[in-house]
Amino acid sequence: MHAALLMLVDGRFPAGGHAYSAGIEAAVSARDVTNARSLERYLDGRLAVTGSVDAAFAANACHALGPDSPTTDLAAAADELDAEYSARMPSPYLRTTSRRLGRQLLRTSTRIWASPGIDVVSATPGGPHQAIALGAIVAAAGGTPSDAVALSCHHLAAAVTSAAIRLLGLDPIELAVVQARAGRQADRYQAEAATWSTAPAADLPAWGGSLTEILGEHHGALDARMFVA
Amino acid sequence: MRASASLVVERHGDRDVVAEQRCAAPFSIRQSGKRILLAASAAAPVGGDELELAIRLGPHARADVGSVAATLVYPGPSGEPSSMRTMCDVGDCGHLDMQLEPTISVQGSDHSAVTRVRLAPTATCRVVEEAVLGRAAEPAGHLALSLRVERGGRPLVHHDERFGPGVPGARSSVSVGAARYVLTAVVVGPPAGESAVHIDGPLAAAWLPVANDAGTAIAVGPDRPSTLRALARLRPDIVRFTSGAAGERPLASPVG
Amino acid sequence: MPAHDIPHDLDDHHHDSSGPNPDRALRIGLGGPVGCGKTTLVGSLCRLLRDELSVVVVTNDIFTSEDAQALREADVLATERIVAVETGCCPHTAIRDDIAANLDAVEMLEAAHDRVDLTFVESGGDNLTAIFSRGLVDAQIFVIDTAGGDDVPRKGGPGVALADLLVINKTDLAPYVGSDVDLMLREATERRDGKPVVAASLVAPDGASEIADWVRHRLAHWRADT
Repeated sequence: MHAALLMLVDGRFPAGGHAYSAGIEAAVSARDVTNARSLERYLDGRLAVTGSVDAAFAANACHALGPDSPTTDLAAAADELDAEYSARMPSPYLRTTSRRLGRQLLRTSTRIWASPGIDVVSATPGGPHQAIALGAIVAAAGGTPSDAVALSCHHLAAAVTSAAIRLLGLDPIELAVVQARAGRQADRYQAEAATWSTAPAADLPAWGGSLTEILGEHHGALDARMFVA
Repeated sequence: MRASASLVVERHGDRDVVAEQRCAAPFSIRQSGKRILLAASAAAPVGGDELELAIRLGPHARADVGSVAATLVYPGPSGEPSSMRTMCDVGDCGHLDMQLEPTISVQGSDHSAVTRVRLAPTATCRVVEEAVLGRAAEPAGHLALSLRVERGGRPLVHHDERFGPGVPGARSSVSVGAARYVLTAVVVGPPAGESAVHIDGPLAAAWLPVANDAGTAIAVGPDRPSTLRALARLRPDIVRFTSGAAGERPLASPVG
Repeated sequence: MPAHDIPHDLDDHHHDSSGPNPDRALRIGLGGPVGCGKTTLVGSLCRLLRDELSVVVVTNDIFTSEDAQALREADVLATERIVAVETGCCPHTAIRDDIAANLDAVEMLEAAHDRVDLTFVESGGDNLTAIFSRGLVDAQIFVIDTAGGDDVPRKGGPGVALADLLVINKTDLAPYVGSDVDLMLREATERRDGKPVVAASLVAPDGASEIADWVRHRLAHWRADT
């Protein structure tokens, strides 16, 4: 992995990630996450649903919108990925948030990397979904679909653990252990990267959680929140 | 057991006609007034069963598809999974209304239900899927539901979800929490309006617009009647009630 | 795999937030500790400037929309001219380290209105080390108040030392809390290498007029530069 890619998942990379909790704020409000144990259950659950979807779309975008793309019509490929990803995220608020995070990731990344794939995702109305933008950026930075999977999973695990530390004052050392264990799932997903990167977008994972969507939409309607989602 | 059934409805003049109907045990198809009802004539599915149902609506055809009773999913003799695939195609200006009675996941079972709805660009639908996670006071088996609705070849909604023991994050706020009843519905046609959410303890329901004229409803709750009532307050056209009950009683069901 | 180029050269790459741009508004950050009167000051400035300038506001309260709500309820600006940004429990991170969400909000707000002259970015209440990134704002005001203790200017910190304007607010309360405003002004001036310090009491109707003049002055300079 190129060293510059590490910046993409560094918490200091200015892409708006610090205010994204991957649903933890809503889960804390619902009293579902109260300690490290329930946090780990939540993280395992998210990795299995939105985590697999994000990783698969990042891997697919990395291939389809990268230098080895099988198509010359990158715009059509980006459009298909966008439609398939949107279909997997029915909550309008979560969709908007995903596009906002994608815009914010591009804002900084386009100052560093450039590629035809980044150009087409940048043209997505409202901004590209974060996972798709990530894939295109990883490709432009010389990374592989497997790198995109690892970075996507890290993004989720870091968002969940750092938000829980801030919201609940949980022990950051204990949560580092939780996050490391979550890395095993990321490793398993990396083994899927080759399959995901070349599969038709329609066949990519679509695992979702009912309460993920319901609580996500509810969070967006709140008058007071600390994390965007 | 592998079994399949198919149904073709066409518009002839001002009538919708079942132009073709083919089914083998355990399926049987019959018409009850304007509804087309599926019935399982043998205990089905059990582990090892692979069932497939194909429904095709021609241009301008309308069909209202239901089932006679809830589907109880039982474990097979040696733990094999069972599956049910429902493939629907709806022609231009056609409308598919499909709400089978709930799938009930019995302890020890392992079932997947896949529903694909392909709408022509001007077709509409109301598709409701319901599942109950275990009979009364019983833990659920393993259940995977997959619902995908496309219009004009583009996906509108694709929601897959797994339930039951061993599923990561089971019973957390990622999936269904403490709920035992889950519903996913996709409505295409009427104006989608604004999103709406209702949360009350273990009961949570949302109407989530995905296009100007399409949306999905997702609801989880302790039982069917209370969840359907909550959903009906958010979006009355998703839930159908028996005509005489003044909007208070959902369609009769052996569960909940 | 070949090493990939980092294609952009900072020197020749023009970016919206990287320097003066005749097409966009002057962006002013307002920071300071909790309760120092940032929201009241933003409200006062909007009231004083809204008739002559097109103004929009981005707020960064800990809770998303509390400050935005306060401004809307005070009716100082049309609702669509105020947006709130989530800060992930870390208001200083949102204005200093990871400014992406704020920049996104600022640019969306400026794009949504015809020819915005002035964009205020109000930080969430934080500590004395908070400071706005230059990637986010063109100038910044740091607000402290007499009730927070008259030793605050002596303690210094990036906010007190580096802000383009330091406001010592709530001078009307000084006698009740035993703070010496003159001492605060003197020590603040020593800390700031000649950059301006203003004492203010926003309970008076024209309490923010000197600060509004400073804003007008900055805006005139901004336009002259671009």
